[in-house]
Amino acid sequence: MTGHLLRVLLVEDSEDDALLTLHELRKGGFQTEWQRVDTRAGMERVLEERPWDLVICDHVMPGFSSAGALDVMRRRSLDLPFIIVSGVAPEDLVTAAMRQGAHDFISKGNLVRLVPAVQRELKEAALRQDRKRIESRLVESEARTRLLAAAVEQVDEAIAIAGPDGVISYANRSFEALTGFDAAQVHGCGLDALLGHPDVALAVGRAAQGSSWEGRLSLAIDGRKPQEVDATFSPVRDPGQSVRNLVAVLRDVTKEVELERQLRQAQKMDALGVLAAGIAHDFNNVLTTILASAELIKLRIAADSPILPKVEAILHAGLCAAGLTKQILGFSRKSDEQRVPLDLTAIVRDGLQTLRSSIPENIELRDDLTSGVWVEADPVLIHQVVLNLAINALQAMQPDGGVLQIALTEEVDETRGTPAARSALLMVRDTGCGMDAQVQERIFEPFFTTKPAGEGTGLGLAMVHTTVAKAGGRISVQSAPGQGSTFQVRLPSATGREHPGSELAPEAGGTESILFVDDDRMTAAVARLGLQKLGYQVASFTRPEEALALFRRQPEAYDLVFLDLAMPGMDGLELARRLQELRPGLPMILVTGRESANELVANAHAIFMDIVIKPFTAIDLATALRKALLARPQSAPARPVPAGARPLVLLAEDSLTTRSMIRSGLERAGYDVQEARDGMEAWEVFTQAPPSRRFDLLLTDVVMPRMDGLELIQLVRKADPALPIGVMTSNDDRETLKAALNLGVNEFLSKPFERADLIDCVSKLLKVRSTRMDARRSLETARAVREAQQTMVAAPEQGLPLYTLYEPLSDAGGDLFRCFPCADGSILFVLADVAGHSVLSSYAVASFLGMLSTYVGECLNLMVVTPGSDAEETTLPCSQHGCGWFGHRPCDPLPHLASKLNHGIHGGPFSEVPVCTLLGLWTPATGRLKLLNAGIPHGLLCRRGTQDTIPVELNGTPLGVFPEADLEGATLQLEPGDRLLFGTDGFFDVLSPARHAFQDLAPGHWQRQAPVPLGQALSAVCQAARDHGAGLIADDLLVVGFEQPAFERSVDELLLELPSTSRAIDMGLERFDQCLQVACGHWNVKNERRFDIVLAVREALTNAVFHGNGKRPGSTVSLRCRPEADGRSLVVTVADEGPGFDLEALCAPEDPLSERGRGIPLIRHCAQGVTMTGNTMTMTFQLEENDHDDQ
Amino acid sequence: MTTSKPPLAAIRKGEVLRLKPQVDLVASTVEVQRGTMMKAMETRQSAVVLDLGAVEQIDSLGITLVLGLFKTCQKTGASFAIEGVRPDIMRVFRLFNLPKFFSILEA
Repeated sequence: MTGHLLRVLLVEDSEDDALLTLHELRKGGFQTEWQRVDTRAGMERVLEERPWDLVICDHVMPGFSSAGALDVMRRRSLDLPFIIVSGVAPEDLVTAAMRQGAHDFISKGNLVRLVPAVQRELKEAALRQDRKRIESRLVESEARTRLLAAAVEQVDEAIAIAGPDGVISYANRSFEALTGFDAAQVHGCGLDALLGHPDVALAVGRAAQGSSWEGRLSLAIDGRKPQEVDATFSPVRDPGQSVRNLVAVLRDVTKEVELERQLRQAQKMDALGVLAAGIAHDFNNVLTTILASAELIKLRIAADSPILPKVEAILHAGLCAAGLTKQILGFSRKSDEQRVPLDLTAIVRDGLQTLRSSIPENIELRDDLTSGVWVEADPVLIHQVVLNLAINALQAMQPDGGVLQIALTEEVDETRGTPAARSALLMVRDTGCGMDAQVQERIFEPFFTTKPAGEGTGLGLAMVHTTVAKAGGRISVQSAPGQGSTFQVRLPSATGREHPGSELAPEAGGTESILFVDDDRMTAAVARLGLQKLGYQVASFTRPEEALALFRRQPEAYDLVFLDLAMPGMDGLELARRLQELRPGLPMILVTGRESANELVANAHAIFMDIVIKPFTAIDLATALRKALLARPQSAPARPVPAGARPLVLLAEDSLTTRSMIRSGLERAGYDVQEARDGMEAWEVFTQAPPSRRFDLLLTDVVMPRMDGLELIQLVRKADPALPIGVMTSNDDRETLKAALNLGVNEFLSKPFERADLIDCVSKLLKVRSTRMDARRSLETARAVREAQQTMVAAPEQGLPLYTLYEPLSDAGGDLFRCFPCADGSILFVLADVAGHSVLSSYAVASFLGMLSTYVGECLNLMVVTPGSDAEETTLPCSQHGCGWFGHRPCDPLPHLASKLNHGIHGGPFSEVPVCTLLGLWTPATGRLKLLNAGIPHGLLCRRGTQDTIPVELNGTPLGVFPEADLEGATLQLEPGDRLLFGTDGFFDVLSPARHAFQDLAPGHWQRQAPVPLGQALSAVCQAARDHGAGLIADDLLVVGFEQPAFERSVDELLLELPSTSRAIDMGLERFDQCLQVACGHWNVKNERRFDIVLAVREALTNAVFHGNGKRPGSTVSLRCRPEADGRSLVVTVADEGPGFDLEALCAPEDPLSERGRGIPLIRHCAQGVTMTGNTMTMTFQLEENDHDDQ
Repeated sequence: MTTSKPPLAAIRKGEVLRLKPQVDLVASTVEVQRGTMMKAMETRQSAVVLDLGAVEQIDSLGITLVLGLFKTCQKTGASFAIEGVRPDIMRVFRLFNLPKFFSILEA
C-alpha cells in the first residue's frame, strides 16, 4: 500500500490538524492527494467531484461532525475507510462512532496509530470491494443462468440435452410438444429410441465425438401425424474440451415443407402455362385452318352428300381440340377473364342442353333449376364449370349408369348482416363410384386424375376450382366410396342484374370490301374463301408490306381490314398504325391467339374495333365484321328492307347463343327477325308492333325468365287466335307439349335442332298462316263463314234410318257419331263429344275412335256368316258367346262397351280429355231402344200422335273422369212414328244474343217438325238453332235423329208390348197361347208340352213385371215369340226395363227383399235353354211331336 | 300493357282455400286458371271451395278443370265443394251427375 497514491478526504476544520495528519501519513510511506472540507456541503461536493480512498474526519467541527460525515457516506452508499481523528477519545464516543460506521477512532494525541489503521482499513476495504464484486458477479451469473434456462425452456425449437450416450437429461416444453411426451417421461430415454429415426443414432454418435450433425428428419413418433423437422445435434464441451453433453435442437418445418411443395407446384404450373401458351398459339393456327376449311367444304356440298357426316366429324373434332386448348390456356393464364353479371340459370340450362345429346342411355338426368339466379363471373368459364362437373359425374357412373342430379338455387344468409348475403348454390350429384378421403383431398390438384393414362387430363376439376375461386366462390365435395359424390359450388349473387349490353349478332352475310392480312398462307386463304362465300369482296395478303402498298394506292377501296398480330417484318399493330395514317377511322379488327390478345397494350384496343380469337370460323369473322361496321360513327345506311317483302318472325329465346344462331339462319333464309330475350319482352314487342308491320309468326322457347313461353302463347293467342306459333322444346318435356297443344301451338321444334329443321318449321308455320288468314277475324269470321254456307242439311247415315248433321267448328273437331249395324238387325250407335278443340283433342278423338272400333268388334262382332258360306265356324257376338270382360258370360253390350271405353280413356295417354258419350242399341224391328248416357245432353223424344216432346232424362259422368264409369241407362220402347233427336252441347247450348240457351226452345222446334220428313226436320231444327244464335255457333254442332219404322215380324211371329201389370200378364199369355197352339198344332206338340211352355213364359213375365220393372211407373214388358228356322224350336224373349240380373248366379238386385230368382228353376226345367242379356230373357223351347195318346 | 284484375282470387282462411275465378272457364282461360289454381293448392288445406259466382260460361275444358280440382282434392284428402253456380251451369253439373260426388250450391 505504501508508495501508492492515496486520495485522502480530510473532514477537518483545523488546517493544522489536517497537516499533521497528512504528515503522519507521509511518514508512513503514503503519497497523498488530499482535500480538506469542514461542512456537509463541502463534503458532498468533493465526493461528487472525484473518487476517494480514505476519509479522515474530525469528530466535532463547527456546524459539522463525524456523525454528519458518516451520514453523508451512508446516504451515498460509499464504502470507504472512515477514520475519525479527534482530540478527545472517550470510550463512549469511540463506541458511538464505530456504531455509526467509522472504522477506527484515532486520538490526535496519538497519531502513530494512524498509519497502521489506514493500512489495515485500506486492506479491509479492498477485501470488501472484492467481496462485493464477487457477490455482484454471482448475482449476475445467477440471473443469466435463470434467463438462459427460461429461454431454453420456452423457445419454439425443441431442445433436449443428453449425455454423450444420448440419454436425455433435460427437455424443454417444445420437445414435449413435438414428441408428445412430458419431461418426466423423456428423462432417461435415449434420443434415438424416442425419435425413432435411424439418423438420430448417427447424429448422437457424431455429437458425442465432438462433431455437430445437421439434417432434416421425417418423424412419426408414437403414431403421431408425420412431421418434418430440421435437427441439429451439437456437443457441449467442458473446460477440458471433453464432450460432457450434447444438445439436440429440433425445429418443426412441416408447414414450410408443404409451402415449398406448393411453390414448386405453382412454379411447375407457371412453366406449363408458358409452354401451353406457346404450343396453343401455333396449334390454334392449325386448328383455324382445319375448322375454316371444313366449314367451307360443308357450305359447298349438298345436304345429302355422303361425305357430309365426315365433314361434320372433322368440325366436331376440331371444335373439341379448340376446346381442349382453351381449357389448357384457361387454366394456365393469369386473370384476364371477364367478370360480368350473368344469368347462371341460363348458363346451366345451356350446359345441360349441350350435355343431353351425349348422356348415355343408362343415365337419368334430373334437373331442378330456379329461374333468374344471377352471379358475376366469366360466362365462358362458368359454362365450362358446369360441363366439367357434369362430365365428371357422368364418367363416375360408367359403366353401370345411374342418376345425375343438377340443382340450382339461391341461398340467403341473414346472419352476415344487412342486407342479407345471397349466393347461388349449384349442386351436382351423381350415384357413381364415389371417392375416398385421400382422393377427395387431391381432386382439385392440376393433373391429378384417377383415370387410366390417356383418358383424362386432370385439368377439369382444377379449372373448376380456379374459376370458382376467382369468382369469389367456393366449392366443396361430399363423397364416399360406392355412395356417389355431391359437388356444391357457391357463388356470390350478382348485386345488379343487367342484361349484357347489346350483343345482338347481326346477320353474317354482306357485300363489303374486306382486306385480310395474315402471314399464315392457309389462314389467309381460308378466311378469304369463307368471307367470299358470305358475299364479301376479299383481298388477302400474307406479307404486310404488300398489303400496305396496295392500300396506299387505294385507301378508300376497303370497308374493313382484318390484321393478324404476329407477323414478321411488320406486326399487326404497326401495320394498323400505318393504315390509319393513310385513312383515319378505318375499321380494323385484330385476329390473334388468346395469349397474344391478353398481352396487348392499352392503345391497341383503341386502334382495333374488335378482336377475333383463333381458331375462328368464317362466321366468327363475319359476325365481328358486321358488328364493327354497325358501330362505325358514320356507318353506311342500313340495307333497306322492302316493306312486307320478307315474313317477320318474333323470336323469344333467352339464350343469346341460340337466339343468334336462329336469327342468322332465318335471315339468311329470307326472313326478318325481331328478337326478344324473354316472354315479357316478346309480349311488349308484340303489342307495340305497328299495324303496317305485324308479325307473321311467333317462335318461342318455353322456359324463360320473367315470363315463360306458355304464358306468352296464352296472351298472344288471346290477342291473335290465328297467329301461327311454334315452340322450341326438349324432347322429353311431355307435359309442356300437352299444355302447348291445349293453347293452340301449331308446330314444335325439338332441341337440339339443325338449321334445316328450323327453316322447315318456319315454312310450315307460314303455311298455317296462309290457310288461316280468314280465321284472323276469329268468331266474326266464323259467323261470316256460316252465313255464307247453304242451309244446313242433314244426311242419312249409311243406308240406315238415321240422319245426322255435323258442322265442326274447326279442323280439330271433337264431336263424332258412329253407328254399327249388328247381325241381328240392331244398330249400335255412339254419339261422343271430346273436350276441347285443340290438336290434343284431335289426338284424343283418334284414340277414342280406335278404341271404339276395337271394342265394338269384340262386343258385337260385325261379321255375319250367311248360311251356306264356307266359314268353318261362326263367330258369335259376345252377347251370345260371352267375352272375357265380364267373365266369359253373355254380357250386355252397352255397359260392356262403356266400361271398356272408360277404362281405356282413364288409363290412356289422354286421360285429361274426358269424352261425353251416349251409347245406344236400337232394334228397329221391335222398337226396342237401350240407351246409356255419359254426359250427352238430354235427347228429345217426340211420340207420334202426341203434342209433347219429352226429354230423355239420363245423366252420367263423361267417360275417363273416374276409374269406374258412372252412367245412367234406360230402355225405351218406341212405337212406329216416334222420333228421337240427340245432339251434343254445341246444339243445345247455342246462346242467343241475350244469352238464352237454345235448349229451352229445342223441344218445341222438334215437335213442330213432326209432320216433316225426318231429314228435313233435322235440318230445320239445326237451322233454328243457328238462327237462335244469330248465326254464331261457338262449338261443334252434331245432331242425330231417327224415327221408329214399322215393326218387322214374320207372320208367325208374336210381338207384344205390355204394360207392366199383372192383368197385362194374363192378356199377354192369352195371346201367346193362341200363337203357341198354332205352332204346336203344326208340329203336333203334346198338350203337356204346351202347358209347360205357357207356364214358363208366365214365370218370365211375372219376373219381368214384379222384379224387373218393379214399381217403375209407365214401364212396359215386351214379349216376343218366333219359331226357329227349322220350326222345331220356339224362341221366346221377355224384356223388361230394369237393370237386368245375373241369371247364372241368380244374383238378387240391390233390394234384398226381392225374389228376382223366382220362377227361374221352373223356367230352366221347361225350356231347353235360358239366357239373360241385360234385362232380356231368352228362352228356347223344343217342340215335341204329339203321340196322340193323351189328347 | 293494360292492367286488369287478376283472373283468379285465391283466399285462404285457416285450412279452407277459396278459389274464385273472375273470368269464364273456357278454352282461352283454362290453362292459366289451372296453373294458378294448382299453385294455390300446393299448400295443404282441409277444404277447397270453388266459387263460381263470377263465372257466366263454362265449356268442356272448364268442366275438365273443375273435375281436375276435385281429383286433386281426392288425392290430398281435402273436401271439395262448389258455390255460386248459375242455373245454366248447374244444369251441366247435374247432367254430369257431379252432385253425387261433391256439394254444389246454386247462386
